[in-house]
Amino acid sequence: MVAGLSVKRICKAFPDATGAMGFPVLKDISFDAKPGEFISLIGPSGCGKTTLLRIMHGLDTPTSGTIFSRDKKINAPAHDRAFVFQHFNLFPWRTVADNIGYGLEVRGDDRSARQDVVRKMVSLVGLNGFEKHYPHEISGGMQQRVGIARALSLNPDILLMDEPFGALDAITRERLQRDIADILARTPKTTLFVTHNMDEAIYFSDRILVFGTKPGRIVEEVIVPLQRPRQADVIRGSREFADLREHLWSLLSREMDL
Amino acid sequence: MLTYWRKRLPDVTLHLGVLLLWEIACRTVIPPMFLPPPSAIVAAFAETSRTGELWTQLRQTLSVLSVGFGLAAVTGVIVGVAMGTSKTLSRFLDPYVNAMNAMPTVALVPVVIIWLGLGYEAKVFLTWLVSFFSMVISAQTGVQNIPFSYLDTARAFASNRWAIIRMVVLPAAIPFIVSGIRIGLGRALVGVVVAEMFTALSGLGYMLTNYGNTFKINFVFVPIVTLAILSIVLNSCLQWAEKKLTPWNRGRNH
Ligand SMILES: Nc1ncnc2c1ncn2[C@@H]1O[C@H](COP(=O)(O)OP(=O)(O)O)[C@@H](O)[C@H]1O
Ligand SMILES: [Mg+2]
Repeated sequence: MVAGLSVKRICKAFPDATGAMGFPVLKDISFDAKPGEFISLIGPSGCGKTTLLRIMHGLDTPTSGTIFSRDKKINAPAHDRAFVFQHFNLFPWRTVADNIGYGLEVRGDDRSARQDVVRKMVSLVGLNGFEKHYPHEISGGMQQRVGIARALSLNPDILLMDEPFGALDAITRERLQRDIADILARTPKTTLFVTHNMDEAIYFSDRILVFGTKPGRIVEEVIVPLQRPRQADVIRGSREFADLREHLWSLLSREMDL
Repeated sequence: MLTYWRKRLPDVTLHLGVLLLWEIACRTVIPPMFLPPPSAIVAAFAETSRTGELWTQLRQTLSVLSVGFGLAAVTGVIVGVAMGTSKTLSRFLDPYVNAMNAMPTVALVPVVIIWLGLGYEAKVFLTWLVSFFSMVISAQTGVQNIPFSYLDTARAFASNRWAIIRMVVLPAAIPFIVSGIRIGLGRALVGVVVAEMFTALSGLGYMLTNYGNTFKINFVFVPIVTLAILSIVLNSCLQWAEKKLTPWNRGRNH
């Protein structure tokens, strides 16, 4: 069974220009992610979603509070979690294949094992034939496929994705959404997914945490009562989908108006 | 290949025209003691390569240059990268490196002579000294200017310090490092010639001084032209190496 994640009373404030602690970005965030659960974090810009995701990975330290996984405190990145960045963050000097294999190389897997995994990942994300390309030679959608493959190659228990489709056009976004849903159905992972997009949140999630801003906090936990895996076209026409969307919209528009 | 030469044809014609004008000017208005005509320089080249003098002296210069500049490149990049990755180290060394880089190193010739004498070591050391600091600074600047997102990504994949240096810092800084090496090469060439003229005379520097003192101006142009060619050839090699080392950089910054 993959690991879950337990977020306990996380607060975060960044020091301001004078060095004093500024206004809190995150205030008292607590929730549990059950093993294999898909949780979306949705909320207005600047409410601290990225910051929270980074803290969950150990990339940032909270001002107070703790995150546990398998009863161990998280305070630095590790290979049983993997992070997908909003802006892909590929290394321009590495080819597609070498970018995908970066985490494996750091972990110390030997070359032949790495090549096997990379080959599998390349076909999993549909990049066959592009292994030797450099990031600047491929489209944004393909770059994010590389970012996702790089994360999945570690076969992590926990997948942290920060608006992975945010920088992509609508068609590419839709295609990648379906591919990711397929991949997660085959190799379940505990997934934390930051998004701005309500449809995306409903389509993927077991649970949606709706964030408010100033300070960033969870205003409501919305449970999506639809069986996973889901068929995008089927659920989008369903009654539950329309109701959930309506509900999310009312919550978010209230937060945006603040 | 044919189209290549056809495209170059106007340029080639132009430069041949310049040479021709130079030749005519020297035979008519410019006194030969002032500027020799190209034909006299070519003859001087033929003469010095027939006697073997050119090759002997060129070999000497190349020997000093390759050892001095080679050591400077290796040590400069190592020190520069170290300073770029360690705040403590750069805070401590920055003033010295900047001062040494800003100083006209020719001023140190007497000191080097007192320390190392007039021989090969002194020349190698001077060449090293003239080019080392600029390469330190370029490598350091390259490392310090690596975008945060690269280092952040490396950390997100739990890279340790050594992995970050090897797999992120070095490749990310390579364009800076190579351009620093090119600047360093220019300075090293100056360094070799200065060393050869101001310590025991040798190499192309010897040819410059010797033919200069005896007013054989057409022979003075042999080392001058050789140094120009050397500089162009070595620079092209570095440019080629840079392309090979950073295939990912093509179409990004160029
Ligand atoms: N490194 C930082 N230093 C100072 N302030 C930061 C830093 N990172 C984020 N912030 C601030 O924290 C708030 C939340 O940012 P972020 O987590 O990126 O929000 P979101 O991802 O929800 O849009 C913003 O107001 C942002 O300016
Ligand atoms: Mg964000």
